[in-house]
Amino acid sequence: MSDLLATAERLVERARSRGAQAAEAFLMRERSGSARLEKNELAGIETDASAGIGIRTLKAGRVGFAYLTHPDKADEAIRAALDAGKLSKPLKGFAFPSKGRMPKVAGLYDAEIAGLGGPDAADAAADMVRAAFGVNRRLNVTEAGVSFGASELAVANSEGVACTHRETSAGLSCFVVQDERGVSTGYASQHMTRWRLDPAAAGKEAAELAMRARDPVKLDAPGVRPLLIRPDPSADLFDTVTLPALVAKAAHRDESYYSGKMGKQVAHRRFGLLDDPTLPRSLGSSPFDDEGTPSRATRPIRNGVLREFFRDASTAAEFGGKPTGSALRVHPFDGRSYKSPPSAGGRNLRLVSPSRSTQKLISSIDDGLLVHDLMGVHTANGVSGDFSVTSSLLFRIRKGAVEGPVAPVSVAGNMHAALRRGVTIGDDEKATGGDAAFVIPSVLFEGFTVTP
Amino acid sequence: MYEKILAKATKLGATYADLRIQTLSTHGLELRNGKIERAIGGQERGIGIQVLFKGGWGFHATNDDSMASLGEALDAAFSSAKAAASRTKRPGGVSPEKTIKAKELWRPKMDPADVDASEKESVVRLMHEAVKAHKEVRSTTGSYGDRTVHQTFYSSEGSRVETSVTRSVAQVHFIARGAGQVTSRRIRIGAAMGFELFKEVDYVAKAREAAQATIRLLRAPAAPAGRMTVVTDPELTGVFAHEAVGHASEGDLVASGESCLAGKLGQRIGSRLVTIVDDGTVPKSFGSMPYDDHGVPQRRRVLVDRGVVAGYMTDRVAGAKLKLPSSGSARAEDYGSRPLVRMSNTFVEPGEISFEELLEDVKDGVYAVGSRGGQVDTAKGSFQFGAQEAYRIRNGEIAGPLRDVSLTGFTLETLANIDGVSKEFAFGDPGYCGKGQYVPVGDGGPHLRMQNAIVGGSA
Repeated sequence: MSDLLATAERLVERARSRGAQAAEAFLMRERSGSARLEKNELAGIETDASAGIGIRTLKAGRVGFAYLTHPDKADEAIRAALDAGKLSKPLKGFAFPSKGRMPKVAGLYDAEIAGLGGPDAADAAADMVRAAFGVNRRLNVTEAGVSFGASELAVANSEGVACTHRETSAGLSCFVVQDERGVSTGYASQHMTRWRLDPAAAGKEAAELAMRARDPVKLDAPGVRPLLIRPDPSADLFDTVTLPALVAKAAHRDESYYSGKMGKQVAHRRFGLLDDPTLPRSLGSSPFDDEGTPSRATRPIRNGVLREFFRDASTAAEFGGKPTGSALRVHPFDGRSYKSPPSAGGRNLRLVSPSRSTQKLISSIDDGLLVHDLMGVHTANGVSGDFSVTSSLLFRIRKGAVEGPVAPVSVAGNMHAALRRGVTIGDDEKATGGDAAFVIPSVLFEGFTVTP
Repeated sequence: MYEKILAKATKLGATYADLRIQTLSTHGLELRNGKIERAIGGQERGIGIQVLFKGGWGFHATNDDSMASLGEALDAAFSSAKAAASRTKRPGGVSPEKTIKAKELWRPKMDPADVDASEKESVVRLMHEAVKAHKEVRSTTGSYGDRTVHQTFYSSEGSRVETSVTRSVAQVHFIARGAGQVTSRRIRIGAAMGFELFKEVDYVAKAREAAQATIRLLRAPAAPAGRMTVVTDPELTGVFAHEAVGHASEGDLVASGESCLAGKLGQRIGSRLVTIVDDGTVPKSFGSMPYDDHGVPQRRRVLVDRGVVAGYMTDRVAGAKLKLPSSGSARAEDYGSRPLVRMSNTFVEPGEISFEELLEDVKDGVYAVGSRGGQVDTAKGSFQFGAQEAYRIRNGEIAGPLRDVSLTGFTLETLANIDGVSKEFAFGDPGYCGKGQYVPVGDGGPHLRMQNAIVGGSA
């Protein structure tokens, strides 16, 4: 048994002996490294080795939570969790998840990453600059980074759950500025579970984008145009507007566009959303969620019909149904962390919608835009789905071909309405980083208003 | 013992090393519809150590603070620095700074650790009740949080700076429906204070007023899109100062060629009416702190002086690159992160005319109030931010409300187009600025009038 799991089980027992009727311990230990570049040169190497514990207690139907970094403070934390529980409203029918059959999920741990050091990240980062310079020696890789991490998680509770899991991640980002003919920028990123980054490809992609974006032309007039939005900004729209609306808590409390619409047509009949944390080699995958419920696929929207909301143990107790294996511990600042009690959310998402090759999608557009970035998506109205954002890296598509760059525009529309109209997806699938992982291609949206 | 660790770094050949040891204590409450849903207590300890060796920087963080682990942490940071040195052609450095021994513990008048949770709960519950009094408000989520960060900073140069800062925040977010529309809003109170904050600020009135304004928007038409005259309120002015000018004035971005203000020190970039300042000494403001995370005392930094670029924000690392002294702007989210150049409290200085006079000359425009957040591309100098509320201005008077207004523009063009600055001044809601790491900040200013601003709307 791993020492982490043994500690988790000890803490559960300790909490029970201190007055908790039931208890849970979530332990996380991470080791990570990164290298960062500024203005084409290595600016520093960073490493981190941290660990922490989140404890939940149940007493008289009330759940309490506390976190700590030092096991010598365990008694204090247990007391803090019990005190916190006294304040919380009672949650009738709440129970920590019981032991279930865990799916086998392959490709989440890469032993090579566990053996890496900061200099490995630095060498990969240098490859990005070389590749960018291969496109044009006068470009400036203003900011770039390569990172890797290996973590071990353990969840134990008094219902018999005792599970542990190891996972790894690797990522890079590359930001390139061209300033000889005006200022234009290019960006590329990669995220994966294994040490298979292709820094040279990323450097080249960002550099070519910055070169192609030179001399943007102002769009002549405002209007509604088809927009082919690249994977990262598309994921941002779904992550900000669609996912939070599919969480059971929001939906059952009239806080979501989807409130009261279960079983109804909420999107085009050919649109679906799949959350499958059992897919191999995926950043959002793991055999169990962050409270020990076995992972399984959920299909919140299927054939345009609202079928299911994301539920964790507490929302299942409050609103009925079983947990969907959607518990995540996401801290607002630190990402996945022992510092947060679990909440339900999407974990490993894919769009199900009519698809064509991205090239064919471009060929099908008579007058539209290819959008590489969207700024300000977080200002969208998450409930109504209305948004008004800016794109400053985009190209005109005319008569089926990508033409030159376009000066910044504002893009306004409604995300829920766009899904009712239906979207077509390309074949340039990309894994995005973030608390909810997406594997998403470029998405063709209709009905958004573009203003120069 | 920490001095010993740093002495070892020097002995190994480090040009510079520093170590921050932190204890963080947090209390949090989350409420839904006025009832506590979750209560959270947290205790963390950890250290962050950084080493400069032959121009290479290495950083290591851990929350194992045993002596053995400290030695390992130094070894990790040192070997990273050594590896970095052998891989860079542009060695890093630190700008010169006086050695300092200081202790400044900002002890709150009412330590949140001593305040009963029911009192904390009542703050959020009363904000909830003020908002919920409107029948259009369907649901609310609220939260209370306090955090005390105790830090001791040691440098290999012999500095030792011990600080403690407590910050408290309460907020309520609500969703309102009516007239076939749905809207949401967040109201946040916060300061570098303890629980006394909630004795000094009328948070109930603030929540009530914000709710009233937001509900009016339910029946408002969508905003027009296009170029027009825009007047921003103090909060949105603050977001403009922070997003559009503040980020572009961050010395690390200036040095890496990622700022539209690079190379413009001493140049006129905007209207003579505009002076923009970042000041970490504003008493009790959310972004204030006694010393930065390189042990440099806080100060007032003028970024734009009457339209001329007057200075960049720097820490000792960016300062060395730009051959400028540190402006005391090194901030890290916590021990686990390396300090970066960050803002503190960023604002536009007030002008001489009244808000009414500012409106007088506007025949047709938009008055944009409050912020839904913003984003900036510092290299191109473009920005985007959303307003919480907006109103049409017709013939010098505020007319009906408008929904979903966002502002877009280029920093330099917008600064040149500011032709009115009011004398009223206020800080907006406190915020957290994200730059890979989150730090608490304050933004504010007067009302500004901008000609030819780009309004993004859907009508």
